Formats: sequence, C-alpha cells, structure tokens
Amino acid sequence: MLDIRNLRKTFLLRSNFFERPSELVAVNNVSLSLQKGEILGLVGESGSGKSTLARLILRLLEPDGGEIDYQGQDILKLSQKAFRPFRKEIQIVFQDPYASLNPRMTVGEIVGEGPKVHKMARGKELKDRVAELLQQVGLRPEAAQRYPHEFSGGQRQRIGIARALSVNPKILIADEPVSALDVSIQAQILNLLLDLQEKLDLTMLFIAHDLRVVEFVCDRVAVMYRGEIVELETAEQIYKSPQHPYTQKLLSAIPKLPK
Amino acid sequence: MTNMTEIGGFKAFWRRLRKNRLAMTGSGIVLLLVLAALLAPWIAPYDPTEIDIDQIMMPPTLQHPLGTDMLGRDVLSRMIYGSRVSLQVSFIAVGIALMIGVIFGSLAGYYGGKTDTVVMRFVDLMLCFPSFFLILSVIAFLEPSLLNIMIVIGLTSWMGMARLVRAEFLSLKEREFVLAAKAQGIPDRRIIVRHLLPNAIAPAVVSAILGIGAAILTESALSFLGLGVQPPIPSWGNILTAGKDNIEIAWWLSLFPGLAILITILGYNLLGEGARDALDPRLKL
Amino acid sequence: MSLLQIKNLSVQFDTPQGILKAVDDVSFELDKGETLGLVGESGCGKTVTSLSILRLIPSPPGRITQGSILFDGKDLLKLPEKEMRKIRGSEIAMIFQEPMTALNPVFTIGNQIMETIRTHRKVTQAQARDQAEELLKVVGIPEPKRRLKSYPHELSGGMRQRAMIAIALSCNPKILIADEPTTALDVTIQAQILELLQKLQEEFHMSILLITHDLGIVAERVRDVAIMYAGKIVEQTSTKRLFENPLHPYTRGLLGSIPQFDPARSQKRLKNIPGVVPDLRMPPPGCLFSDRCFMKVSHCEQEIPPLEEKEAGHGVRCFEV
Repeated sequence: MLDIRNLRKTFLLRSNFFERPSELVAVNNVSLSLQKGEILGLVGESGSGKSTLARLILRLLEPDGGEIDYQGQDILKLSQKAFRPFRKEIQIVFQDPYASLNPRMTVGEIVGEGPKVHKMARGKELKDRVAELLQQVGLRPEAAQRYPHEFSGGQRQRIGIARALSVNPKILIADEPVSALDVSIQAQILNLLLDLQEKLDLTMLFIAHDLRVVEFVCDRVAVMYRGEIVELETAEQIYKSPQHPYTQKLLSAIPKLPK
Repeated sequence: MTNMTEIGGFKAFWRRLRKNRLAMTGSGIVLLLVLAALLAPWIAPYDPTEIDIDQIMMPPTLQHPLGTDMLGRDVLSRMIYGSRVSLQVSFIAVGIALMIGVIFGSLAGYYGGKTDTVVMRFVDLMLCFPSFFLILSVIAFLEPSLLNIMIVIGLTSWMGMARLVRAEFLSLKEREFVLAAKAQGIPDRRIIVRHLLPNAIAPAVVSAILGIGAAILTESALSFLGLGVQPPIPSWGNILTAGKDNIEIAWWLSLFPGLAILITILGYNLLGEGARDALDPRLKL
Repeated sequence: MSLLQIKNLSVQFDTPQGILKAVDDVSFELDKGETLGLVGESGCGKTVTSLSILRLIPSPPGRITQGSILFDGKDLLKLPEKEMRKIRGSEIAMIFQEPMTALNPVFTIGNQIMETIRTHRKVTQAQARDQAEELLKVVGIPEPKRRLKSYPHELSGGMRQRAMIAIALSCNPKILIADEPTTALDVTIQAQILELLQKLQEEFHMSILLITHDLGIVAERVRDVAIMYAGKIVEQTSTKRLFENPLHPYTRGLLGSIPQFDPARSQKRLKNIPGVVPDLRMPPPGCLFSDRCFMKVSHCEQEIPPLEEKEAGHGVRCFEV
C-alpha cells in the first residue's frame, strides 16, 4: 500500500551563531512497507525518530533522500501542489489532544474543514457529514457547536480522530494517540481506533513508545532506535523471541502485572 | 509554552478585564471621548468656527465654560469637535498600521526563510529612523492634510505589530493543529487566516490600543507645529498653538486642550495595559 | 508503629465555578522503611494529598478543611511554619514528575545540592561539596566531580531525575515522596530509576510514598497500595491482595484497561471504563463512580458508600462488593 525506501532526514543543530552546526540524523535509511488493511506498530523511545518519520510520510517535512511509493507513484517527487489531492489519502492523529485542536474554531468547523476545502460536501450535506463523523467517534452531534476547551482530553482525542477521518483517508497515522491520556481513557481510545480500523478498512501506522500498547494493537511491529529500524516482526515474534538487544531491553523494562 | 489566547475564551478575558479598575477607568474615558466625537453637533454649545468679536479671549464663564479664543470662538465646542479629528486620525492611522503589521508579520512568521529575512530587515530599517522626524519631513513635502497625516502616521508605526504577529506565528505554526491543517491539504492562505491569525492577533490588538494613544499625541504635536490639521478646522493641537501665543493672558487656551490630550492618552494606556494583563494573567508580575 | 499517619484529610479549592473537593476524607499510614503506592488518574487528588503532607498547598485558593497528618507523633498541620520548614527537605523530601521544572536552570547541579545541604546542616562549603559528590555517586551519575558543575539542561532526562533524587537525599530524609517520578521518562530509563529508588530505600532506610497512575509500577515494587478516584480512596490493601482479588469496580476497570499481550489474540478489545470522571465542582450525590460503574444499583446514586473492610486488611468503598 505504502512503500518507504531508504528515507533519510538530517537536522542541522546550531547551538549558537558562531559554532559550526552539528548534524543530527533523525531518520537513517528507513525502509518500511505498509500492507493494505494492517496495523503496523512503530515503537521507540523519545528521540528515536519515529515522529519525524510520520512527518516525512505526510510531507510536513521534506526528506533529504529516499522514496515513498503510494499507488505506484513516488509521492516525494510531486510538487506540493500536485501532492494536495494525495493529502486526503493519508491522515494523522496527534499525541497532544490540547495542542492539536484550534482553540478558536468550533468542533464542527474543525471536523468539517477538510471536506469543505476538498469540496467533498457543503451546506446541509456538510453538516450531516460532521454529525455522522462525530457519532462515529462516540460524540454527540451537538458537540459541533462547542469549542475544544469544553471537552476532556479523551473527548478531544475523539475530535482529532473525527477530523482525520473526515476526508476519507486510506491510511491513518496515529502518532502516540493515547500517551497523553489517563489509563482508563487510553483503553477507550484504543478500542475506538481498533473499531474504526475494522469498520473503515483502514491501513494504520501506529506510533507509540509503550510496547504494551503496540503489541496489543498491532499486527506487525517495527522497533526504531536512533533513527534506524532495528527489528521488524509480527507482534507475536517480538513478544516471544525478540532478536535485537534493544528490543529485548525494551521488553524487559515494561512493568508487568502479576497474572 | 505561553500562548496568550489559550487561557479561556473571550468571556474569561472580559471577566478579568472587568475586575481591573484601572482598565475600566480607561475604557470609561475612551467611551466618553468616542461619544463626544460622535455626538459633537448635538452636544457642542456653539458652532466651533463661529467668530464672535464681542467675546474675544473671555475666561471661563457660564456661557463659555472653557472660555473663548482670540477670535471669540467657544473653546469647549472647539475641543468637542477637535476630539473628532483626534479620533479619526488615530483610528485610521492605527488601522493602517495594524493592517500592514499583520500582513508583513504573518508572511514573515509563516514562510520564514528568505521572506522572513527580507521583511524583518525592512522592519529594522524602518525602526532606525526617528519616526517623528520622518513624519515631519514627509509632511513637509506633502500637503499637511488630514488624510496625509493619517497615512504617514500609519506607515511609520506598524513595525512593532509586525514583530508581535511574527513572534506569535513562529510559535504557533509548529503546533499540532496547524500541522493537522497542513496534512489535510488546507491551502496556506486559509491556514494563515483561519488557524493562525485568530490565535495570534491579540497581542497586536493590545499594541494597537496603546498605539491609538501615541497616534493622538503625534497628531496633536503635528497640529501644534502647524503641520497637522489646518485652521479653521479645530484640533487639540492647533488650539494649543493658539494658547501658546497667549499663555500669559489666556491660560485656559493651553490648559484645557493639554488636559484633554493627557487624559485621553492615559485612558488608552490604561485600557491597553488592562487588556494585555487580561489576555494573559500569567504575564502580570 | 507507623512513621506517617494521615487521618481524614480533606482539601478544598475555591474556584470561580464553586468549591472543588480535591481530597475528601483520605486516611492512610506509611510504615518505617516501607513503600506505599498511591494510585489514580489525573485529578484524583493524589498530588494534592502529597503536597498537603508538606503543607505546600497554595492558599488561597486551597484549604485543608479537616484531618491530621501525624509524623513521628507530631501533627504537621498544627506545626508553626518555621518548624515545618525544618521538616521539608530534611525529614520529608519530594521528587517530581518533571525534573526540568523542579530544578533551577541557572544554577549548577552541585550548587543546588550544596544549597540544600547547607540549609539544613552546619557544614563548610568544602564539606558540602564532598557530600554532594558522594550523593551523585550514590544515585549512579557517572563522573560525579564533573557533573557537579553541569547545568540541568546539560543532563538527559534520566540523569536529571537522578540529580533530583540526589538533592532529595541530601539530608537523609525519613520519607521520600515520589510524585510520578518516571512518567516523563522513557521505559528503559524508568526501570533504572525505579530500581535506584528501591536500592536507596534499603540503603537509607527510607519510607517512600510512590504516587503513580501506573498499576504496573506498583505491582513490582510496592507493599501496600491505595487507589484513589475523584478525591476519595476507593480501595486500600496490600499489593499482593489487590492483584489477586481486586474488589472495587474502578480498580477492576483500571486493570482491564492495561493492555496485556496475549499471543492467542483471544481478547480483541480492552475492557475499558466508559465515561469520564465527574466534575468535582458539581459532584453527583452518592458514589462518585456510579455513572461509570457496571455494578451500579439504584441506591449507589443516592448514598456515598463508606470505606469498609470487606476482608481483613482490605478496605473497599462500594456497596455491592
């Protein structure tokens, strides 16, 4: 469905004006392919490059090298303008439910903006679409008239999911969608994502630092460490016989509940 | 991150502003001034340009509460009409400045890179000139008319607002809601207007309120020097000029317009500072 | 005998929308050399409880409305501020979730440790420096001599938390309050910090009050546990018993919410708790958990259940258990 080949991104860090900038290789020759309908987990600790990878796929950042094939086309070669129709196809849910919603727009405007701009619906049709989306994520349609600050973290995350789904994406990138939420709310959102993935036949890239969550949600898991993918296996394999020493370390660090 | 606009909505802002007594005093003064300007023809006791040679330089009396000038015109009426000039000049000048500041600040902050460098160096350049002398020299070339004054004041006072808007944009554009909009393929123009500006405008508006006070002062100074509003149109500045020449015999001609300028600027400053504190109570030390 | 005994503690905050009961009738005991886990989600009152122990609740808007906090036989709530200052940092120390905000960015690590030492003890600058170096060694910071001169931003998150712990340990406290000490850290670093705390506890004979939202952390390292929900303790027992036989529906929901890997994939969805925490400024009558509870019966919504021992050493706040 989505083929990433040798993707690279380097940031230049400059601590002050006179110093020579140093290089930080955030994503180093990453190759990854997303199969249609699967949930691929991407796990790694802070600074491992997993969020950068997500932003490269969405072309929110321009990579230094590599290819991303989608439907037989290298989307990195497209101009931003030519890429615009493709933006509908790949959507993202962010980590921070407080920073990811515009505080000055109503929920209805937030969720309806994508369909409106892409001329997928207007007027009454748009209103109905927004109501449908809100219901789909477990919110009441009346939520459309309210502002983000009137909602709790979990509800805001639902709004973020509704926005991502509003343009009928084929691929959903979930970048740490539950790590800012309380445990009991985490479970609600994970279940919702799983339900939606099934119902809408989404292909998902699920990014998280918590191996417990990733293993529960994903079919396959890629472990990212210092900008590289060090292991890519089925969730079961990763759990039963992790190969890379970093994966092993990660696995053993998880606090375990007694059976 | 300190984002000014996140702490409650407009309602919370209003609640905090209303609690601030100084700010409410400020807005009271501003309101009074606006009313005086709007209702000038109805509340002014005399025609401001009506000459009465029987009543030259009369000290304040019941008939002329603020006295008369050397042509026997009623000072109170002239001041009420003068407030129209002050208000008109300051609002339009600041409006122009806000527009330019917002446009330049937005472009610089959103696009960054070369656009940012060019715009911000231009801002630095503009700030190098002492603006009052710049205004003086420009007005000296052009005809000193109301319109010219407004435009020139506007063109020389947008830099601070551009910087404020740019700074807000720089921090906001990395926020996830902006990234989400980009990821949805929302066009740049819409992202700037719908997502960034509403969240970035507040500090610039505060700066504009403070700027109105400054613009009134500039206009008065220009008129005082004879480069502003030309007689017989009354303006606080040119009443003051008349007062200056007769200060030993007609103190009221200097005192009242001077007081009006002082109180007005005080009003705008109190309101502006109150609005700034109410926008972000954490900034108040 | 217990070292710290909290009895019927209630803390309220005045908000523009009304009074918020952040902590309501909380009692627990912390024994010498033991660890107590205080578990709950955001807004449940666990942090307010810990701040009350040190009397650090900002007032106004906060108010401790009832209860006592007995430490070594003294009621901390009745102590004059001067006495209290002696206890803070030296007898009872605290570490926080985000060490970057708890450390002062303009002073070196060494300065900050030495300052704490010299506030509470009469030692020379040189002695303080030696002690500081020793402490950094104890908390496992490599090259302690060099690190004394580092500023907080020059350290990684894990190292900063270690430095924070060093400051907390500088006066040999009897009690260490650790408020979400590892939440901001990566999993592998989290494991190291928790291990360090355990090691230090044995070495220094400290009691630790571990505040966390993660039952997994509690399971491995804590003897007793209290689960808080909406300002109240809902279940209180030994960790062993809690996991063997969780009784309160909230505890059970929390446990179900934690993903567990199951190779057979028999469980497709997590057992979650529906709904959200009630607004504590306008609490519903009756049990605060009732609107999310799967065991709710009609009188749950009218009456607040008491915290009762359902079996020896196992308190539960629920009518239906």
